[in-house]
Amino acid sequence: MTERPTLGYMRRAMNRKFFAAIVLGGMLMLAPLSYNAAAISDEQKAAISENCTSVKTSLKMLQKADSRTRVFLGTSYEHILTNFISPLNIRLAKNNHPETTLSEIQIQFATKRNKFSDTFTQYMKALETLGNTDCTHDPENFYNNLEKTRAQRKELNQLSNDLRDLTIKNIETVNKLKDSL
Amino acid sequence: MTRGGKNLILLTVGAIAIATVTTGVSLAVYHNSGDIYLDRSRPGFLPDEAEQSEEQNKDTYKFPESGNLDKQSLTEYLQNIQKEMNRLNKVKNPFDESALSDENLGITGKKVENTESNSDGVDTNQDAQHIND
Repeated sequence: MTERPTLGYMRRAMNRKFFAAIVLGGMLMLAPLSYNAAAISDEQKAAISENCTSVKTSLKMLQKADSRTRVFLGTSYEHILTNFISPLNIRLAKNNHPETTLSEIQIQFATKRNKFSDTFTQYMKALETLGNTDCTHDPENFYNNLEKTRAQRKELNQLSNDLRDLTIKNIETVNKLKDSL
Repeated sequence: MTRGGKNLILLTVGAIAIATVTTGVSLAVYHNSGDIYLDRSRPGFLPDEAEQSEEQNKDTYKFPESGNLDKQSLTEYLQNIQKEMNRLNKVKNPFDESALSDENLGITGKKVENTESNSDGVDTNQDAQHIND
């Protein structure tokens, strides 16, 4: 005679199935996230392992230098936006002389400035992860993290250049406006 | 020790333990979210006193929001924003990707002649030096 399943038994069975489903689902979701090792040469692996200490020291110095650069640039961007671009547009509006180009520059500048802050945070996280990676025993993983950090730094570089270009564009537009008065 | 005394000690220890755990969790979240990096690089949280005094001495010109729109006011605007532009130009190609290049980090795997080798591979002070000029 088969035992009639009790409520407790059914609950335990369901819990086991539920747990198994969660684990399986998690494995399926996380599988694509597993990194593919970068195709680096054996010479490079050896170089990374041998120079691990000096590389880590260089990364720490870079981290500090980048923080200073970020402070310097962030202050300038904030100063340009709040003390020049925005007040100028307000003054133009008050004088019934709004300039579409200057308004667009203000919007783009503010957007890119915010993106710069977010990207810098991501970059510093990537840099710290890179610094915490064991490059002596796992050079491939280190190189993968290095590639990710490079991508973030490249984006930061692009944003910095964009913000400079927008400032130049603002100056050129105001020059034209001044000549037209 | 009375029972009340024991309970008091337990209460104290428990409160300290809970406070420690919650503080640790908060710090972990703060660190993992990345906000710590933003705060550490925000003006006012500068790492060195010398940098803080440099920031305080900075010119704090602001273009007035109200007033006439004439050549004189726009000339004043251009003169002051140009100063800020010159300040920006002190940092040549910020966050240049060469700082993390294989050559700069010394991980090319290729043997470099000793006569040309640089012990300090990463030129981290390039931007920082321009800031101090």
